[in-house]
Amino acid sequence: MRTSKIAAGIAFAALLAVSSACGSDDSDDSSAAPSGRAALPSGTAADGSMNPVTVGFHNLEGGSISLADVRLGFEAGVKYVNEHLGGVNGHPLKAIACKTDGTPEASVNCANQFVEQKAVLAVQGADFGADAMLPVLKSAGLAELGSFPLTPGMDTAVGDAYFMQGSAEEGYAANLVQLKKLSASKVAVVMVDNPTSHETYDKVISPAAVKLGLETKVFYVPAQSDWTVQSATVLAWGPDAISTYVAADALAAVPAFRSAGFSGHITAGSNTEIIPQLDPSVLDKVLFSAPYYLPEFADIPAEVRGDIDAFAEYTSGLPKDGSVTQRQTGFYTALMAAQLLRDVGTKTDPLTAEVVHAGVKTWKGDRQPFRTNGWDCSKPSWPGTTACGTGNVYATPGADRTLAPLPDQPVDISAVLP
Amino acid sequence: MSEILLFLVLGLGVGAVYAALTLGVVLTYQGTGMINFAAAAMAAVPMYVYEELRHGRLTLPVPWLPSFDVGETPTWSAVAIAVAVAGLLGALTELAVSRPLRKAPPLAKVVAAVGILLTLQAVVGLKYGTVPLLRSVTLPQGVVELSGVNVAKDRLWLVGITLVLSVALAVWFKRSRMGLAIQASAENERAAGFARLSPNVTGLVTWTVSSMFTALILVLAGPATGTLSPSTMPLLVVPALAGALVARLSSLTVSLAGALTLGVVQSELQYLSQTKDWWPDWAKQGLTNVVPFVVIVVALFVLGRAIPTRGDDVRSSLPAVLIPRNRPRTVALWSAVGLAGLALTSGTYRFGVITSLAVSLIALSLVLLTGMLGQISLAQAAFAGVAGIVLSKLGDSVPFPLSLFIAATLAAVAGVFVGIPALRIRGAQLAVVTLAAALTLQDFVIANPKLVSATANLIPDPEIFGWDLSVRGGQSIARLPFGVLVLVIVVVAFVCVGNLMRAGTGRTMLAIRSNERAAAAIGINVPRVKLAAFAASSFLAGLGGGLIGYSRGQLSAESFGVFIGLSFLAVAYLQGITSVSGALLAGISASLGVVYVFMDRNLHLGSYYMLITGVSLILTVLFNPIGIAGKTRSDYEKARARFAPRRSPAKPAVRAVESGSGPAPVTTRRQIGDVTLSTRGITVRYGGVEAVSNIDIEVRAGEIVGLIGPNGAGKTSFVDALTGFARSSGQVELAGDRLDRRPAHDRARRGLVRTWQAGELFDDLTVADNVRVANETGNEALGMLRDIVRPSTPPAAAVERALALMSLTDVEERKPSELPLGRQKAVGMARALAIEPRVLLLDEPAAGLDSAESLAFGDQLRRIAGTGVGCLLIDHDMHLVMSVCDRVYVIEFGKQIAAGTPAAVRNDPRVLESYLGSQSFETAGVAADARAGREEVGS
Repeated sequence: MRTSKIAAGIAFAALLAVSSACGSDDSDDSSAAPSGRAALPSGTAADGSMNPVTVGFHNLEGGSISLADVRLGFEAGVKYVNEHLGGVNGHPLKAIACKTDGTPEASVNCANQFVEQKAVLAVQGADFGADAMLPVLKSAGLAELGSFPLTPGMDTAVGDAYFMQGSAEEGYAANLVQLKKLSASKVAVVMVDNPTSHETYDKVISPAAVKLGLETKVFYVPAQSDWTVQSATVLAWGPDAISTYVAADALAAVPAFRSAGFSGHITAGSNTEIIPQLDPSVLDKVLFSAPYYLPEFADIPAEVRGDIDAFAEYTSGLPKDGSVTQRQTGFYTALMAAQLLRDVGTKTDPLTAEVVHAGVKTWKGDRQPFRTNGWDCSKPSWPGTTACGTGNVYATPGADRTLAPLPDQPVDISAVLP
Repeated sequence: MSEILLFLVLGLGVGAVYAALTLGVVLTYQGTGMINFAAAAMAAVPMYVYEELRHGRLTLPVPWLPSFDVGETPTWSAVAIAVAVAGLLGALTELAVSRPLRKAPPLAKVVAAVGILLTLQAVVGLKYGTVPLLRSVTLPQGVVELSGVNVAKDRLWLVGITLVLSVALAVWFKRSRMGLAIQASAENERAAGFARLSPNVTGLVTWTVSSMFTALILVLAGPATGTLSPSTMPLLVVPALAGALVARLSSLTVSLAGALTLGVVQSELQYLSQTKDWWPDWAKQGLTNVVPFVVIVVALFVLGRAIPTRGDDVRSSLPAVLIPRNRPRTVALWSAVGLAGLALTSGTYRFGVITSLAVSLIALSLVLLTGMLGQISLAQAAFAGVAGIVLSKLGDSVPFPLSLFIAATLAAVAGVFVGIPALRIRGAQLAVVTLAAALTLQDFVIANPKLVSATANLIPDPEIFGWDLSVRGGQSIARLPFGVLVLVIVVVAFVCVGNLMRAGTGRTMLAIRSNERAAAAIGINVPRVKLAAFAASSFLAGLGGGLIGYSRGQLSAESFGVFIGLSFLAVAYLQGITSVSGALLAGISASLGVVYVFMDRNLHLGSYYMLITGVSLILTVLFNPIGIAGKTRSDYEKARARFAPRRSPAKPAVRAVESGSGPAPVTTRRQIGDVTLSTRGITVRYGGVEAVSNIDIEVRAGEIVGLIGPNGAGKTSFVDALTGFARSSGQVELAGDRLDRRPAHDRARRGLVRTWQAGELFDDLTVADNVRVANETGNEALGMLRDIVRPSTPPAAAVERALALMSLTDVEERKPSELPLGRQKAVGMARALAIEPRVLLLDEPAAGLDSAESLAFGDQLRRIAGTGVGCLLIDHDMHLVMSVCDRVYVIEFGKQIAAGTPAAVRNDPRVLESYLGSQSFETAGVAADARAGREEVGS
């Protein structure tokens, strides 16, 4: 089961592993020192004499999939909050860092620790075993917060978990909307073979396709596939566009489709890390989506530039060979957690798990870090999910491999909402 | 049609990747007896080295060693370096792991392979990162047209290279002195010595060559392997093992064909299932992985044998079983310890105690199945998962504890299905088949979206008569009532299993574990016992899975996957798979158990946790192969023995005749009755060779009949045929009852009992239990239920008589291996007598005995025949045969050449010419001139 979990959860890479052209693992850490970066305005430090506000942070680290950079980014974010944003209404923000290995056992262990050590909020970096935490957190009245739900249980734990980006469902639907706008009519949907994919196709993609008048067919691929076989299978159906939900395997999938002669649009999720590894001719008509502005984007809005600068400043001391985007995800998550506690704490003091759990249900705001839009946790942005935010930006690499946003972004999904 | 052709060719590419691993696995198994579950993880290392070189870096798989910038490396240099690294890794594995474990039981080797897998997975993750990499293309690119189908050139190159290299490897394996030595060592290490090559050399060559062979093909395969990732790459070993199974882990050419076929079948299935509307939705999940395995398992089942035949390895080589005594005081003490463990802890530690208790049930299921019965199962986690699914499906519709009972029962049903192949496959092959079964349960059941929801598989909290037994409530993450509930279930289960182990069921299981053939020969229905054990063990695993489910509050399917099953087996083995205390220790050290919680809270191992786990596993297998519980008990026994009075050595059985200068006259009066055993036209063929040809014999009640002939005459084959251990034609009648279509155990139960030339005693049982187990056959499944409740029953009178008759009462509590050969033979006789046979077939009982022992044996034989048992004696000791037998049959090249009284036979010219030559025999005149019919003989 670990295998399917890995395959399933590898969707995380779609959202986390972005680097290189968008900041690769081996890049010069452009986010850490972007040219022309403005100095950070002076901020307020937390009051060290006040009791800290404790959150539990769980993240994959040390197992067969390790995302240590998410934790490093989160810790940098906590430091930024405490040194520059005044902590949580003056209280220092403190995190219980709990490393998971993707198994339910490790995640349950983290949840137990958070409850035992009186954390007021559970914060997820990236954790495939997180679903197993839900009964523990729910019983203790502890809410879960994160950037994106990697697992189906977290995606649908309405009232118990809250994720600040758009839901996975929105991503799937937006994908079809975008392809429809590009004149696709027969879309092959390629997914990792696991229960989540089957359920997602049946409940989200297929109904959305019907609403859009698209013909779709799903192809489930096992982990560790020979993509020559898989691409031949898909192309035997004769699609004019292909949506891939195979996470990092997009690296092999995209060239395989091109080698087999497919010249239509291919969507590759957020796997922009594949861009520098592929020939520009292969990347033609390959679409990528991004949850928020990345340091490498040109024309970053001014309000977002400040976030990018803070991120760069506070991650500048980290090793150069890490994943910038994983760090950005961690940093973003820390900022959102602090914002939640700050907002709820202004109404009720002291902060307890119950208070936070009750407060997050009506929590909303105007602008998230690294984004221009806001969030509203009082109503899921996609029905039945834990998403508080919305909006996906689609872009395609040019001849120089630079991502250029497509027209009319973010994608309007109102036509396919259930 | 063109698409079918396209996928056939593409499937060959996939098959080539499998072939690289399959041939490596088979070669390694032949040379070292180790099934290399880590083959794909090992191959990943040179693949990473190659990819790094293509990017101008030399990065060796040593965690603290930095990368070296080497600039642009020519492709073939990079290939050569990567293959060299593979060779080094293979050699290191041989020297550090495989060689020290050469004589270890198969189970230890399985565990070591799991340790290697975990270690390398961790090393690769630490060294090369966990983000998947795109494989570089090494072979020529482009497409060629074949019968109107465009096929990728690199796949054709890959298939061609694989075929050439595989054939070369097969020829080397078949023709070279080293290859022949490796094959010989697979059968018998001493035989390999005839090629003047030590096992150390063959082992080193095997590991090195197989690693380099696999690495070379996989490095060249490029994208055909899929992306390179430490989390998914090791899984490639699963289809490779399927190919290896097809080849029965022996033939390289069959392995090649099997792997290529598997690739093609997967490819075609992938195409058909994904593109054809008529393909049912429910059969799409995990299809390509599961179907080939199911076919292979079925094929192996059909081709396999219910009981091993001559030449099959029947040794279990497992550590000695520690039989629990289940004294009420001890049970109460341990229950109190458990209760204290729950009451004195709280929070995560109490949760750890609860998890340890629940997991100990899964480990206990392995103690029963693997420790007691010798059946290696990697599917226990899957059985636990089945129970978890059932609980989540039942929801609130069935109240606790009925819901838990139903869940465990359905897990037992799954266990019986998985156990069916175990009836015909054994040893390391069974480990692979259960791995396949676990994969099938994982993909087709536990992860099937038609059965399991991706989001909600809640398990309701247990409750009895309104009493809330839920694991958690509010801020309490581990409530005491739930802990007590788990403790009660665990104590009851441990007591029940302890009862089974010390009762007849336990003796029967140990008999099978020791020697399946001998077990069948004393009337044990081996298949039924195996299935019953699979059911009982799966029930236990199901209980454990159910309790884990209750502790989580929902089904977490990932807790019951294939690799979790491997880790359960590994931990159970290390803690002591042959003792119930080992099961407890396994629970304590399980994931989320007490030790896990302690380490997590106090030792921050971080990224090195997995590496430390893998290395620890290997080190423990190497230095403490009997497990921690076994070692503790062993040390305790040693300490106790130091202070206990020394026992006298086993007294020889022949003391009564030692002082005599000649054979003592036997006063036993025998009465020869009607024909009890008669055979007509017994014929045995091995391939084109007719080993036994139309042999007819008769044996009367109380009669001693000899069957003699030169070596290779077919005597043992004839006995094998009569007792159901060799396929034969012809009629076998025992007291008018046709036996020739009955299984071996049934023939024994009806009174046709044999002994073995090689003794074939149950080394895991004492002398008394060796004899007793033969008298406890029949109704194995019901007997199991009876033994749970009433484990202590006195031995039957027939057992006491047999022990007394063979003068074994003074060594009842010894192990057979502690006795001299003559007394071991007597144990074999007593075991056969305890069945109360009508006819006893004695296969060279005097072989290895000195003349005094032989004479004493003759006396015992007359006494046995005096009880009315007909005896057929096969032996080369002509003094014995001619002195005790009433009649003698002589066979040569499978054909009967003479029959009659000893006097008539020894004067038969054909017998003299072919067998006896000019030998003369002192027969003491004890049995000469016996005639058929009712007649008293003796002197």
